[in-house]
Amino acid sequence: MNLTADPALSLRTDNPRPLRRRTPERPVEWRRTAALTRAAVIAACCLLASVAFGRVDLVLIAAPFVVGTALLLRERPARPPEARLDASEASCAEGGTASAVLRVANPEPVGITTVVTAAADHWIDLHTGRGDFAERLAPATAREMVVAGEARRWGGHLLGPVHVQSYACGGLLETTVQALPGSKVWALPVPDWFESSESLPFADGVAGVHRSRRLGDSGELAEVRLYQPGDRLRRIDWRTSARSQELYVNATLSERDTDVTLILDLQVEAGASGGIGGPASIADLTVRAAGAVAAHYALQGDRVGCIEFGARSRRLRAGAGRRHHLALLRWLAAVEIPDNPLPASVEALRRQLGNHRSMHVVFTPLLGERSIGLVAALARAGRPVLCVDTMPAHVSPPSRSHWTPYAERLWRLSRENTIMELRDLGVAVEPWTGAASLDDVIAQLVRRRYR
Amino acid sequence: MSDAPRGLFEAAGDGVRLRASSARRRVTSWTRRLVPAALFLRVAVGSAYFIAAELAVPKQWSASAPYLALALLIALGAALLPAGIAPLAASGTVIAAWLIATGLDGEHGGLPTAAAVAVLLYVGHATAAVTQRFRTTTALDSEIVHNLARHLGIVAASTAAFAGVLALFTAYFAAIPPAVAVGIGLVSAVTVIYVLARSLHIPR
Repeated sequence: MNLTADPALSLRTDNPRPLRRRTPERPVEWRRTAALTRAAVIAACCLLASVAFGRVDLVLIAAPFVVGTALLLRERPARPPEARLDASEASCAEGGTASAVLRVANPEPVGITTVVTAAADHWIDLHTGRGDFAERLAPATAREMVVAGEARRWGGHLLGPVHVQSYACGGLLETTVQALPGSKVWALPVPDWFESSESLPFADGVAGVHRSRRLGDSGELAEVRLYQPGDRLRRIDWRTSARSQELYVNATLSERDTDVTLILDLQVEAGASGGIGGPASIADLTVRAAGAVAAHYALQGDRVGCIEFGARSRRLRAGAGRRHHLALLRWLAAVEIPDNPLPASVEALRRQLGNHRSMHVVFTPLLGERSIGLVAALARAGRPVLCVDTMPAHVSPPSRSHWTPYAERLWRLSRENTIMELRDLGVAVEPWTGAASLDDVIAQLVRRRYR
Repeated sequence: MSDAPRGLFEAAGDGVRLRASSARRRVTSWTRRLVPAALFLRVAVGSAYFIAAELAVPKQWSASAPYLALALLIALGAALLPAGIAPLAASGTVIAAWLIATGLDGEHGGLPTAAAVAVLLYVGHATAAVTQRFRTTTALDSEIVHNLARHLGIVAASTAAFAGVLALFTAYFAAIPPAVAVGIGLVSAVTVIYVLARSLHIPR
């Protein structure tokens, strides 16, 4: 079949407007302002009228315009100033200051004034005097100016574009506006505080803080057994040995690290996010809770990995330590929930799961069949699953009619039933409430493991 | 916004409420970001044109309500729109008022008053030239205001000196020969045209 005859190729596109060639940006150059025209018009009119009517007072009125304009235009710039924008810090903490440095160089031996107007993402609240300001540049100097604002929510935010315009000669000459493209600043999420004193099940790494089922050097007593060649003398239990007239030693369980896999359900977003100090949406709660759990376990030496259950299906390899914690926060900051996402695949996610014995923490609002199916599938596969409910308490469906409250009540009852069914399957479901909120359910998991 | 069917009054009420809250947020944001120096410059522009308009006419006229309203209007226009045609219109109005007042009232005027009006007009013009690209939320370097003040001082002093020189030579306006006035006017016009022609030609 001829390609040109293919009817599919002759269909109109979604956007039938013809492609417009991008107009090249005008070079920055000096030009006169309306003020210069005004000065010339006033001076010329007054002088002409003085000649026409023979009025000396009109000459006097024109005098300051003539003198002032001549004084100001005595030295004029020829080359325009050069401006460059650099993102000083690629990332900052949520609630911290996101900034970019603007460098303006004035190559001319004339002082100029530079007016900077910056725009920013609506999650960046530009500081007063740091987003719209004017600075004086001395002749033949360069100056660094800071464009800064408070990042009110985690994520990648655009700082810019920044418009720079300079003027000289008291506002009689000005440059054309130079638009500098903005740069992306990453605001890392500030996790909630999370502290857990419970050990995790399946601790079978090298060295860590969780009680393992393997014997080794530790304080946790496993058994008292007969002495064997090779046992350390300091492990001899002298009291038991004296009672039984045979040598007995104390055997202890080792303490090891474990794998923690965080699964973030990012299929649905609900609730309006108010930023760092405001109400939290599902994505906010998911990211901050995951950050808190990840920080706790990664900093105590466990290997923490992350997987997205959503349109993008991103994955972060497991790791431990402070550097991995920072990488994890950066990964969490890039979380996005598109408006019309492709449906996430449970099978695809299960293929990404590595260690069968790692602890799986699923952060989900339990709002869709796929989310519930994922949690149930993991539990049925025998994986230890801890489900953190990230549905914010304040989120409710919009009021559409007088039936809305009843429908909401029915929906909440149905959701509670679903949670109970998951618990019957052996999944520990717990709403996120911050520090120590998961201790009880982790203890349940450990008890089930060592029963 | 929900897609539930609403009555006309309910929808109108929702719209008004939304617009009111949006306007309140905008005003709050503007108030929070307001910068005193940029406001001060605009107040200076308005005050200069207002005082010049009041000085340009006799006291009876300046106290009348219509003229006060006109003076306030041109001053407000120049203060609110320093980048537009408002400062030129304000200057033109003041000069026209001066011409009419001195034409109709022979006792009004004199070189000191003309010098004061000239300096005030220039203060309004120069301050508007500096302010034209600033918004009320633009934070200003203090050196910008210092430079402007220094320039205005120099121009005011030179205007006063020029007025003094004129006063020396023209003790009585009536005694000026028309030829002298024509000569001064021609020389000044040529000077202005020369300076402007030089200034507009910026070497590359």
